[in-house]
Amino acid sequence: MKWWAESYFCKKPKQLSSFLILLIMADDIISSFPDEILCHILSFLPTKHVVATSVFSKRWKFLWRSLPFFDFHYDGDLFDYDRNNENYSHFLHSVDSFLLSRDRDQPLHRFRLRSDSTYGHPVSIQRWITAAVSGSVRHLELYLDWGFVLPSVVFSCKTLVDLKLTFIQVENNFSVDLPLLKILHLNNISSSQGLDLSQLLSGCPNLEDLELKGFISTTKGKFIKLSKLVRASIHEDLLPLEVVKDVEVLFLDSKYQQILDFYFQNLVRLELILQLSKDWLGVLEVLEHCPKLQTLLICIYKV
Amino acid sequence: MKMMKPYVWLQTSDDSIQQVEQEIAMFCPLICQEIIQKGMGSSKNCAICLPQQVSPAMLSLILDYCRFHQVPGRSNKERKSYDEKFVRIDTERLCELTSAADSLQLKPLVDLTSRALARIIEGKTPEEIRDIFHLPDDLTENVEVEEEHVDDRSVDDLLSFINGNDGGKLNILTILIFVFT
Repeated sequence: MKWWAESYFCKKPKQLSSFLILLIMADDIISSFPDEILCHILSFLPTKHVVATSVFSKRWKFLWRSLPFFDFHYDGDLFDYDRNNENYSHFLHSVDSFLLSRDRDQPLHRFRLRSDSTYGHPVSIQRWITAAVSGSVRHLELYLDWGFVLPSVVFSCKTLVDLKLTFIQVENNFSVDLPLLKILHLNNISSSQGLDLSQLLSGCPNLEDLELKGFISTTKGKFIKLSKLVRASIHEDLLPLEVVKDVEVLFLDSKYQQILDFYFQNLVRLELILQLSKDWLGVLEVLEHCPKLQTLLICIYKV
Repeated sequence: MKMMKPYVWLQTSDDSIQQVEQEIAMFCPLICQEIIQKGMGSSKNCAICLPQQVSPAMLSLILDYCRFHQVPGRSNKERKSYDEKFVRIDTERLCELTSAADSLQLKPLVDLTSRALARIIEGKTPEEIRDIFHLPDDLTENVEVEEEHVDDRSVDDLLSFINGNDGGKLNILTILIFVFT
């Protein structure tokens, strides 16, 4: 007799039936996991694969419905208009049915959507985002190609912790109130009048990680002090360096010609993109203002 | 002042008791709580009783993991490549490990094994998944039961179910088929 059987049979016999069930089920360990672990495993998968798990077995049939994640990616066909149109409407339809059939008592915590369709974005996407934002979404990540206008309510979502936007159009005027926001990445944002960064950042007092790239800023007011900022990645002079002077990790691309009359007191890691023709004295000037620097990474590209 | 004890006594699911370096065992929040809050584990007589999910084999794996990550000064690259090799084990053991790590509240290891299990699930057909995890193919059975259940309703019930309140409509929508291309 094996040790486990021995030790079991020496104990209370009334648990025998449950023990036998355990033995029969022993091989299918994963189905005996509590819902929390199974959902945790599923949280690493794109939603399309999560939904597909419903046909594994009874145990998995409804798990996907309570998962608080929305993670879809549509990969468009640039060269075949008709096929893309058909696939895209399939995609929209499927996501719609996903949203309608999931357990709506479970809020969406993470909403991630990437779409490479170049044929416009129907209102349903705006509806999905508005619904997520009026719930209690914490992570919102959107990658949509040009022409998609972001519903402005996103910028007053009080539960948002992490906001990453790429290739998105924003309206000209909106109020910003993102008290919990820690991560803000803006990449290629368009707005007919330019984006007022000082106004946007004034609504994010708890920001820890900021990335700005590929848009035009028309800052009118003064920048607030972002006292919790730890990491910043600033391209194309989008922000005065003084705003990020307390960070620990900083990424800059070349064009900085600002006179430094302050120190990067906490900076331990600095990454720079330089043009070969640039003068190195500028770099030395920056280095002289980083008393705690430990790591310096320089990428050079030839012009 | 009393010196910190360098070893701690742990009892695994087979009732066997073993001595483990305290510094390493403390990596598991559950063990840490037992030691600090309840003063357990200081001798063989008051060994910390680990959850049912932690077999001696799993404990030894988990301690290997903790021992590696406890050493300071390792680079992220080293840690990552260790982690990758660490989860290259058969699926059954990976499941046991997930369950054991979860019961010890060792979140980094739960994340690592869950990610590995997700990778196994991704992109496979239901048949392949049932083979790998030994899942029962019990869904067809279920459909029959549901059909019987539907037949029990009167026609009026069904009609009001379909046309009626929001809840009814919702249930109908669950029939929609997901097509992702």
